[in-house]
Amino acid sequence: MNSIRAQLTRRLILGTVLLVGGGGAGAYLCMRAALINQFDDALRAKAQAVSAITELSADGDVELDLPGFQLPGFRANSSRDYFEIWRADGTVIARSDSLGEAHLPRPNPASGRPSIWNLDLQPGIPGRALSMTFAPRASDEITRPGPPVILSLVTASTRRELDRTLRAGMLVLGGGVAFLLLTTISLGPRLLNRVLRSLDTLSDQAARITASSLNTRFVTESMPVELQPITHRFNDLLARLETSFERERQFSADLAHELRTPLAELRSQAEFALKWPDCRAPNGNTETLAIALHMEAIVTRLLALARTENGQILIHREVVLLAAMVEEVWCPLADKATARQLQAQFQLNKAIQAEADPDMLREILANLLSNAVDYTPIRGNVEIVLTTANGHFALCISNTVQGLNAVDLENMFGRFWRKETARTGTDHAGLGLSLARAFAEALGWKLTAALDGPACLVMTLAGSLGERALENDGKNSEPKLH
Amino acid sequence: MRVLMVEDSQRLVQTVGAALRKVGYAVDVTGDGIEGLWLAESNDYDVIVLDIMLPGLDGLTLMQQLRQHGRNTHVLLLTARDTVADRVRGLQNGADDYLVKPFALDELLARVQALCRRAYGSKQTRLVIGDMELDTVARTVTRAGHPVELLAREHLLLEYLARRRGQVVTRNEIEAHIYEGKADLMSNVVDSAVCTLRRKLGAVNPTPLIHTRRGLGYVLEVSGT
Repeated sequence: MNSIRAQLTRRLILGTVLLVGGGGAGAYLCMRAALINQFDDALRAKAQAVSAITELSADGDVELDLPGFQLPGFRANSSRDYFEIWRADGTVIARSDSLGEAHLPRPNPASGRPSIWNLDLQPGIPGRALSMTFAPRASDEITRPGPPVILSLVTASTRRELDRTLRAGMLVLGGGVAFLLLTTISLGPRLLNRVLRSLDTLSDQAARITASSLNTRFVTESMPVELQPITHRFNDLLARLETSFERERQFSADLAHELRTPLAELRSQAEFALKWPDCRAPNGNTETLAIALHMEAIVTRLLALARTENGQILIHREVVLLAAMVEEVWCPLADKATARQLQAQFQLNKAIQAEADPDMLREILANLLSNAVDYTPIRGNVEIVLTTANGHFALCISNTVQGLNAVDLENMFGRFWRKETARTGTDHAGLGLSLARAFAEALGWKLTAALDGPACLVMTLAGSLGERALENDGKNSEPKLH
Repeated sequence: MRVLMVEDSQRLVQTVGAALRKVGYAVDVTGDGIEGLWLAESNDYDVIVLDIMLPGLDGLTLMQQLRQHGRNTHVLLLTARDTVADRVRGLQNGADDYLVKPFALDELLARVQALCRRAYGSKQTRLVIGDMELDTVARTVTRAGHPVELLAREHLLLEYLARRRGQVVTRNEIEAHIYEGKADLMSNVVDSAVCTLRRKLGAVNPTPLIHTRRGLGYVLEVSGT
């Protein structure tokens, strides 16, 4: 299982092993090199001291300047330091008393250069030796220099102290490394648990979220800085999900509610007809058909809305005369407007053409104009103005309204939204403006609502005239009349 | 029994109103909340069938105002709102019953009838007065064990008198509860209906059950009680 905690624990221990182990080994090697250098320097100084007191006499003998010279380490009862001097022919000239009957290994006289090596001085006594060649100092009695005399010298010292020190150092460093590793292994997971507790909290909070608790939000303040952006994103996501779920729930409820009344009408009509077959209303079939058409209109509009929002609707763009389309849509509404004594005014530039899908444009206009006629109070005003500028058109439909506010302007494009409390008794299902806006957006236009004072609603359909419409305008060619 | 139906769906008003009339209720209808409140306060209905989402004044507000004005008319809420919260809100605001659309017509009629019974403080569906037995559910009447055929309106008139047995019921009350308040003050529609009822009940047993209190109205009781 891919676990952050396990990964971090593994990496923490591996890192500690590498760092502490490497550091310990490095420290040991440095210490060892320093101690051996120091040891070698001491060995070299002893060799220098021995060579310095070696003298060539006038009769060609080589003797130590101080015959009784013995450094404390070279004494017979000492087993710490040793030296031995040879002539070039291998004759031993001098040796330390500490050697007893033993001899040091004679170096190759041809090498000339001093060399240092480890050796066993006696069984079980490790040592380190230095060999060098040198010319002994000539005696003051020699007046005429003879042929040069080269002697070989080997000095050696026991390594017991050095090795003991190195072992002690290794023990201390190894112990330190082991202690650190054990500490890391035992405390690391606990520390990680403490550090990762925020992740556990986040996980617990996330596990408690269900479709019915989308109003839950992650607590951001107590989270580490690194996790705060994640919790912010989660909260944003939850807010969007909540809105989306709420919208879906509301939509389902609205749809069910919208269909309940026509279903009740149908059912009661059918049951009445079954219960009292002779008393069926003469217009019963007409009423049944009207109910079916109303329900069909709801379903058709919902499907059109869904297809438009999913980009599945086919758009057939043509150049249309906007004013002619407005008049065509207004025509069947004119009688109702007259019956309601509405004062309708038109300011339409009849030459304005736009590139649009005629069916979609007709649907948009039908919704806007029928809303204006049905919802304008009796003897109210309806004004329709069509203008153009810079390749864009604006169709403004203004009408008198009562009790509409800014919140309504935001909500009126929502599905099944209607200002009035009653949801039956009219042909409107609350889907017209949603569909009109979806169609407008599919055509690349905008449909907006605004209040011009407290009692005047202005619906504005605006957008580009389209290249083909502008070309037609330049050529004065005849667009299609729909 | 007189019922007020406040519902903005004209088709529903037509069908349900017709069904209520067919079973003998006097029915007034309106599709507007304000007019519904006015009717409810102006008349003495046995039951009000009330939609919630209404133009003018919503059903819940209408009911609240009705209760605030001291009206205890039984209210059946008939609405498309179906959540538990909606039902609770409706009942807490003073409704006596709640029915969600779409509904079975028979269920609506049964609920209206149940509310009518409650209006007269009775849960009995079988009313026995002397040798007459009236079943308000089966809508049958027998006298001395013989069935008596009554029209719906006559059945309702008999039930109304039976539920108020021993009490004097005025012509105005009968007009208001049985004849939708449409009977002309000078007409004798109530007297004619009572006369027809007496004749049908007397066909089996001549002992009168419905007695006239001159200048007051009618009372249904067994003679000598």
